[in-house]
Amino acid sequence: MTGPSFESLVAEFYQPLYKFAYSLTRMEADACDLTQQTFYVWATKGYQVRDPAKTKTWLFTTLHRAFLQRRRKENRFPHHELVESDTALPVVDPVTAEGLDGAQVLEALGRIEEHYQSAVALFYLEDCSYKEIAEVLDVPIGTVKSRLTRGLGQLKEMLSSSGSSGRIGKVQP
Amino acid sequence: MTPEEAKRILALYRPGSADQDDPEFADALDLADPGRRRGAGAPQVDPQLSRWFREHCTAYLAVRGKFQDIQLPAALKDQILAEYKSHVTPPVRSSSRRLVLACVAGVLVMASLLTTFFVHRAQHQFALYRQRVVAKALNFYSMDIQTNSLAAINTYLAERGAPNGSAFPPSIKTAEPVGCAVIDWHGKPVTMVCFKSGKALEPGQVADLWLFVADKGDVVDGPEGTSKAIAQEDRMATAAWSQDGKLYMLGTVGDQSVLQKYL
Repeated sequence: MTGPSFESLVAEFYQPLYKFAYSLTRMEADACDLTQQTFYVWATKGYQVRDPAKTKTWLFTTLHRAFLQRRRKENRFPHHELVESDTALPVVDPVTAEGLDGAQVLEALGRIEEHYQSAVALFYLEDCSYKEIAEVLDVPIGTVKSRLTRGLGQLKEMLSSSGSSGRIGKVQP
Repeated sequence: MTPEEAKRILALYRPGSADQDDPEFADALDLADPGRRRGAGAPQVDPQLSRWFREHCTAYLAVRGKFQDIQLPAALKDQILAEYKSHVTPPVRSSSRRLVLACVAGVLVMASLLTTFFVHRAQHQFALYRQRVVAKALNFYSMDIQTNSLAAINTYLAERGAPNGSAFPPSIKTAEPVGCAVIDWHGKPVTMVCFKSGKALEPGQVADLWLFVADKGDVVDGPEGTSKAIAQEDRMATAAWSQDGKLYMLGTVGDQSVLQKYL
């Protein structure tokens, strides 16, 4: 395989990777660390990726795993896996959404249950198709949609309460 | 598809993204999006669902914008590249790997050839040749033919492509031949002609003087020219020389003085 040079790879992917990392950590330093770690892993193991078309999901997967490893060291959350989406998604009030700033949105993302956060971040960042999100999270597409349904629902609650009170509470699993 | 089912599907729809071409959303979009190009059999747009869909898209784009607006640290890219250059050995990609493998293979082939060459040289050294043929003469051997006719010996050797009488030194003709054998030296024939020197032989002994003739190219580092290289090998005194592309070695049990009359 003659893949892209390291420099061109960084040029193409460092922005979406950083945004994904920042969505998850909401800390610039942590997001930079994760992004750099991802490219470091690529530099040492990326040659194993034989299909250049898989480069993007490989990078996102690596970053996500690195994030989860760090998170596990910090704390543990109860994990509730969903198989089917069972509720319709409530729509975030457009007026409320427009009135929020980026920090509030990301803070709200950080308040929803942990295993929904990555799916929701990838959903809004639009860098990945549902199939790619499933590969990054290493779950079936059905599970991605379940997580999104629940995660987006929780995010809407967060944003609505934030819009009305200026404070964001934490969704209890 | 009911409006509720369509709503459930479209809740995960991302306007402006590749989702608009995703077949999974197609039927629901037909029901919710009045601006969508519609086929002949497409259902009528549900007004209530359509209103919900507009709100969904507006809200989605608003939240999406917040994610898109995440600011990148100015130096991040340079930092990644600097880290890479300072700490990481560039990965060996397949093209480089092929080159490395080719080099390794080349080195191995070269090493193999050199080993073969040196082993071949070592195995074909004159000292080893001398040791081998002397051991042959001093230990049990059988002659291919037993005759006191040097002409018969020459004929036999010529038939087998072994060095024959035309290359024998004239002095040897004063000894009495008793027979000959063609012995093997790394697949090449070496002539061994057995003579009696005239001394009393030990019981069971049929010869006490031997002439070995080989093609010079079959023995490495043999003596050059007609000057006699004298050496003692085991119980045998030997004299070796080369002439006309042949390597000669005359040997007898005892000291070198016995050899002198044949040299």
